[in-house]
Amino acid sequence: MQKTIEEIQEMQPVVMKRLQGAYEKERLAHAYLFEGPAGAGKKEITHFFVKLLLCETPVENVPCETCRSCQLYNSGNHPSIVFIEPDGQNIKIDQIRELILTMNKTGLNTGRKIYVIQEADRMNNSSANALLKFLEEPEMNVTAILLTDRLNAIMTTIRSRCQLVSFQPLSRSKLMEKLTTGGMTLSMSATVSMLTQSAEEAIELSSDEHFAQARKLVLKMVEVAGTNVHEALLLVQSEWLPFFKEKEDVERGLDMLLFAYRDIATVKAGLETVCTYPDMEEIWKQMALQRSFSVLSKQLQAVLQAKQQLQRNMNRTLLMEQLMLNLQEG
Amino acid sequence: MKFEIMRERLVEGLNDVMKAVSSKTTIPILTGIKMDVSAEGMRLTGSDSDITIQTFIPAEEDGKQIIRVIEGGSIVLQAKVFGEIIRKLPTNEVEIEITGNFQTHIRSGKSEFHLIGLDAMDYPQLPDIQDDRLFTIPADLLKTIIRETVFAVSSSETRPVLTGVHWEVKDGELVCVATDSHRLARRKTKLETLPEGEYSVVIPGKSLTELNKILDDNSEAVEIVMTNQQVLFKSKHILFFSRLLEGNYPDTSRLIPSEHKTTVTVNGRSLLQAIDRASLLAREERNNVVRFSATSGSDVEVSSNSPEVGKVEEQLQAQSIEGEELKISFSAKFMMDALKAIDGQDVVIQFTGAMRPFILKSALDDSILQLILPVRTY
Repeated sequence: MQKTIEEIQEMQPVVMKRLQGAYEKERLAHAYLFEGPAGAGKKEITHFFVKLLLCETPVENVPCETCRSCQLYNSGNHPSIVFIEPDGQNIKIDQIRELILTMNKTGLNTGRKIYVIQEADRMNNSSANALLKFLEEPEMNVTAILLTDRLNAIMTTIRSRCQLVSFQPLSRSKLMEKLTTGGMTLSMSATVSMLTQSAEEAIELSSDEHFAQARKLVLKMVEVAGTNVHEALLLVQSEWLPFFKEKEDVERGLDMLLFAYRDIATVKAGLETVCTYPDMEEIWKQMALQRSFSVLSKQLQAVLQAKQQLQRNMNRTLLMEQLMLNLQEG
Repeated sequence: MKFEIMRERLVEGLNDVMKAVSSKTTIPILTGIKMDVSAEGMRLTGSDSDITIQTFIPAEEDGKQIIRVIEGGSIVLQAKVFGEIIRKLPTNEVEIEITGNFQTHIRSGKSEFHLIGLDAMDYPQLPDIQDDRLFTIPADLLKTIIRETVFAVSSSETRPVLTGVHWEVKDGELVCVATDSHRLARRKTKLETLPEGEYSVVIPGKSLTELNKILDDNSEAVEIVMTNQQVLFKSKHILFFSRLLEGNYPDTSRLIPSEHKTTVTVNGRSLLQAIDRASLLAREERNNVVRFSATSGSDVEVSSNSPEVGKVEEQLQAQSIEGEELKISFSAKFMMDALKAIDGQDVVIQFTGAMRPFILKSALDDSILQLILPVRTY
């Protein structure tokens, strides 16, 4: 779904102002690093910015959408722009080499050339190092845009060569407000707004049957894990494992589990923020009474550790069983 | 748009432009071929964004009608599918009609194909070519120039500008230089038609290799136009565009030594064969290095020693040896490439010591020069 300029403007007013200002004063950097959480509008702003840079007749720092350049871009056929995204797990060195070779050739059209590296944190060391030299000494009229969700995973040497543009996370209450006015229940909007920043994705999630079941299962898990370890292990075998099959599913499941424990901690601390699962608040209160902060902190740690081990491709069954046992302790 | 065309001619044209179309392009529209039809004829364009090949099929040739244009227009069609279809059509007359929404109907005999086309507006525009930087070279000479230089371009992307051949027009000469910083090939060509001023471009080695495949080996003139963005080679019916490499090409003139201490003149072909034989053993070692010595009398010695494999020595009769005695080691591959480029004539090799680069020239003319850096072995 294409967002209008106004929508982007509303999402990231600071970033938009900065980029348009730089364009107007012709003080563009040779490389930008767009950093911010998923759904904060990095892609939308990239599309906008690239189109603006290539547009032949921009009006008030907004691409005209009618010139040949804009039309070529919209149909995905603009020859002066190269998009790089991870090929499998990583951005491979061959992709970077090819990029450098194409960027070193004169364009089919005159004017600026642009390359966009999506998920730049997924460049491995050799790719990042191959890019470094080129990033540092670009030929005339080449602009780089790197996108990332995880700024800390970017090599410092890359970071120091780019102008950093930070995207502010959208405020959760705003997103929730938007979702509930769209007819979503309060509890559902609270949950999905923790998982994503983008309204579209949130709506998609909330209407997904699988997700609703996942939510139920996670809540059941939290209740059981607190009381009976045998039952918890049984639940892992009978329901959790058959339900969460793909790695991304498991990751999301663990995230949701983590938010549940976070809720308990919030309730115990008496904070005013909206819980991830507001419908469970009464149960959380009870659970909060039974646990000390140090136990809660250990339980949070356990879930985080499980998340890490998932990234290292640990056996899923063992991973979940270990997590259940860890959640018992304390 | 609507027209009828002789199938043979269309197949010929498609074969030419298909050479430029690559299946692995990042720009979706470049998987297609662009057709522009006007009253004069049809222009076909294929491109992989590095090179672009354009061919023109005239509506009439030698009094025969090739294309009957009913209505002009432009369309982009999927190259692979379109090419296959045209090749396999049953009769020699093909009718192509485009109706609304880029729907393409191809009719021949009793078969009718229906293809979905793309908007020709989305196809990249080729630069306007001004004729002021134009000069001509016969096709066979152009092929020779490419063959003699392009092998020396760098294959590593650490210095992208070295993956191209530097073409410089200066003082009525075209000077082509390629180097990978271990060796250098230079070819000078006197031009008959002189463009005004001096200018230079760096043409990617790959593009030149492609061009070499497309050009016919005859003495027909090829027009060459250099612009800031692209270089254009124009033969009778085919236009070949290539993108250029950006960046400054290093100044290579200072690399070529002007004085020398030892000069050896030897038959190129027999030296090539001797080096080839010596490299049989040298190849086993990781760097393929052979030793060359001119110490006594009128013979030179080519040898190679790989302790684990064995060794080879070969005496070779030289036409003349002048200057100091010399022992030098170099890469057999570089030497063989250079000798192949000079192609069988007598070769003059000028050394300036065992640690300095040396140059190879043809004994007959000065137009071609090869420079090789020696390898330090002891």
